[in-house]
Amino acid sequence: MKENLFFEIRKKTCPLSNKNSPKVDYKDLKLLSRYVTEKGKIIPSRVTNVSRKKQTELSKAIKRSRYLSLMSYTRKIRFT
Amino acid sequence: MNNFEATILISPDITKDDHSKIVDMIEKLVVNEGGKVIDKEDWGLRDLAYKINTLKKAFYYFYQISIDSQKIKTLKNNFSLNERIIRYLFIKVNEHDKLPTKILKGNE
Repeated sequence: MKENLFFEIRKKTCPLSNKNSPKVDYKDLKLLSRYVTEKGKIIPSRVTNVSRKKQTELSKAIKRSRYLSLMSYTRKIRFT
Repeated sequence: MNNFEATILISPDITKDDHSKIVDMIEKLVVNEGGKVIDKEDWGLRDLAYKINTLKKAFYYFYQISIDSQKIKTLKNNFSLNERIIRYLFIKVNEHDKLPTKILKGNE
């Protein structure tokens, strides 16, 4: 098949379980905000390709920072 | 002895004297219970993501302490009795990270 030469099959890997990837922490708002939708919901791991182990860490960290009011539980989207 | 991270929110509508009193009280409480304050950090006045008791802002304090895990109960009791302290969170960690925390780096 000619097409297969151009489209290599690449495995998607977890962005958080690399060697250089940052530690999941409830104080790291920049990292956590990447895994939350505009409304404030946690994005499922099948979309972001985070491994199951890291996803549990993520969801725990997000819930902690929500309790401390660093992140919001919900947010209204205003159309301007 | 175990390592704990504690974040404490203090309501903004107080005078400066009261403010330093509460901070002193927190450290005294930890020492009285046989613990040790390893390091602390002042995050300053921050906007809350949502209103807590009609408050929109709060002072954030972050502590790294080592204390017996059974003594945390009495600390929590004392904090919940204090009206100035809006919220607190204790989290057990294996090892303390180096300061400053990432929340301060993001602000710059």
